Amino acid sequence: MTEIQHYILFPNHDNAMRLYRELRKLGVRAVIAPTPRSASKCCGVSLMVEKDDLEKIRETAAEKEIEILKIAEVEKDFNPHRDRYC
Amino acid sequence: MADNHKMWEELGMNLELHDQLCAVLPQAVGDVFLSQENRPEGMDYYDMVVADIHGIRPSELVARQEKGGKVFGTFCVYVPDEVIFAADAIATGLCGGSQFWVPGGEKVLPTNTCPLIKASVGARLDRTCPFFRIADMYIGETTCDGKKKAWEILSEDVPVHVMDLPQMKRAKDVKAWAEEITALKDVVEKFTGNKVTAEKLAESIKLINNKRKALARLYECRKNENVPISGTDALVISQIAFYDDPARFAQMTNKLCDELEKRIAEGVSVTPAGTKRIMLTGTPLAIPNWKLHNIVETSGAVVVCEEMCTGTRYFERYVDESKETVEEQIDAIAERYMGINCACFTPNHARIDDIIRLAKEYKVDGIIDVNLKFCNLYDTEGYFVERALKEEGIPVLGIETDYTDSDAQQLRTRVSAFVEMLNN
Repeated sequence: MTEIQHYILFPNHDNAMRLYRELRKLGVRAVIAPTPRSASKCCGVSLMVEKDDLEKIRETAAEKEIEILKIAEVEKDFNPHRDRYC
Repeated sequence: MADNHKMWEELGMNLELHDQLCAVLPQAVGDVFLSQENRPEGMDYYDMVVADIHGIRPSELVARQEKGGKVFGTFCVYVPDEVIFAADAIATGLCGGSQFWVPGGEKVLPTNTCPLIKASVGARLDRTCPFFRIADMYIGETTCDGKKKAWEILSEDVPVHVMDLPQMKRAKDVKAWAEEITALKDVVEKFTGNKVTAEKLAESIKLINNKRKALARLYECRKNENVPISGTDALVISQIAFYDDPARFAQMTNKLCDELEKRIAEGVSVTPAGTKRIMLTGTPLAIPNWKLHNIVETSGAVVVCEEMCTGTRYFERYVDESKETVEEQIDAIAERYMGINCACFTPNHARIDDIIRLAKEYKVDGIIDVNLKFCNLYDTEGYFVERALKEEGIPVLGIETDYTDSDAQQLRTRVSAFVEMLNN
């Protein structure tokens, strides 16, 4: 079964890092990642998060006035043996 | 991000071509870094830098330029950043580590030029890297023939100052390098309009030494039996060191080291006990060249040290901070930099001594001597490296590679066989 990964996209890295720090304070897991191509054509910082945390994340962003562009669902596809470098 | 596109456009970049690089970076980062388990939390800073590598730091450099500051692009660990920062300017690394830039370089360079040089020239001429667009002046050096000719080509497009690095290490050569550093100081002063005073140079010597000390602390953690950080993560930190603000880099790396030292105290390791410890020696691995580390670390081994420009050559030994005049400070800088052991020197026995010393300090089980294709100097020196390691009884695997993915499967086969041999 395909595993879905949720990404939070931001207008700039400042918003991403502000939310990342807030989530860490709350013990909510988030991983800093480049924005997946299938989610946006823009290069930039996004946050990989768990589906179960989405509501808490939306609340935190609203409370702290952190701008989110969108929440994207992307098929999880990390393969360290793919050997496609850049 | 919209802000980045505006900046890239204003920098005169080829947005359409650059977009092809943006397209492949997320997957590579996901495969190489985000697939790892039990990474230190402190890697979050470096993950942020890589995620927006052509946005965050370039925008800081542009902001400095808007206030009248100058940015100098450098390509080699012999160029003393201390002199540039002492003139209130910024030094930033420009070495290219992606196959994406190579075809652009091949338009003007022979195919049998090393990929690092081809990528660096291609990144400038194809207008696909903001760092290459931002730098007001490039500081080259005479560490190989390919670079010497590359500077001539680049100087038709951007101001270039070339430092003449001696190729031997006699007292008169150290003196000659001090004279080259003085000449660099004069160029930087003229270009920036800022005087390099003894006070400013003392500050920048300390600034760059602190960066070296942070990297030395990181590498010290990697000597432990429990490996608290993967070699791939350590590599990207070394790569970022060339670009980042030196004070912030030292601060974030020291913060990471606090966590790594705690991991060591608690016996936390990113690899199972008994995982074979590998040291890489050879040519630099410029960002985003992560191929060999990823292959080694997904083949049952862990990289614990790099005897490379993106490794120990960059941070070992410090500039003496006790000197009081500019002349004495420049002599101290020359002394420190001439202690780096690059294959461009003859003879270069000290590099062999370094490799054997590091193999013992990092308790390595085997060494991979990896050299970029067409790097004649390191390739030739590989004869001495491999002979000395065999005499010491240290298993060694010699590899020649480039930035393409085409040899990855072959490398996997060779590295896996090497690791299996170490395990038996």
